[in-house]
Amino acid sequence: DGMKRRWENLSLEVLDI
Amino acid sequence: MDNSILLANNQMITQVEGNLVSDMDGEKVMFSITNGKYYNLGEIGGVIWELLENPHTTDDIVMDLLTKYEVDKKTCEDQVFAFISLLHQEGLINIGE
Repeated sequence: DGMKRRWENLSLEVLDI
Repeated sequence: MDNSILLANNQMITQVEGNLVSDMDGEKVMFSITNGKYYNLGEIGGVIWELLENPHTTDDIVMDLLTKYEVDKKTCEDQVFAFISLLHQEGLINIGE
């Protein structure tokens, strides 16, 4: 438990390049 | 076109070949040679992408993430399913038996 990283919501960003 | 998929927990998922991948500030950024689009998968999306270098099921992915991140199983499952569906819609992964 002490080793776990903070969760961030998954997303797939399509970059406008 | 209907891009929706019915994804089972035990279906094998792998990367589609033909993507250029780079790490930028801890996030995985990818260029698809096939469709000419750039994607930012984020940090955890990058972890999933690396797992998919070899065939994995969504169950495999969820179990791996649960050992690494502070998240409850339901949230993780829901988001992994949605993320995998998006990858499939963009033609970035293969879903098999």
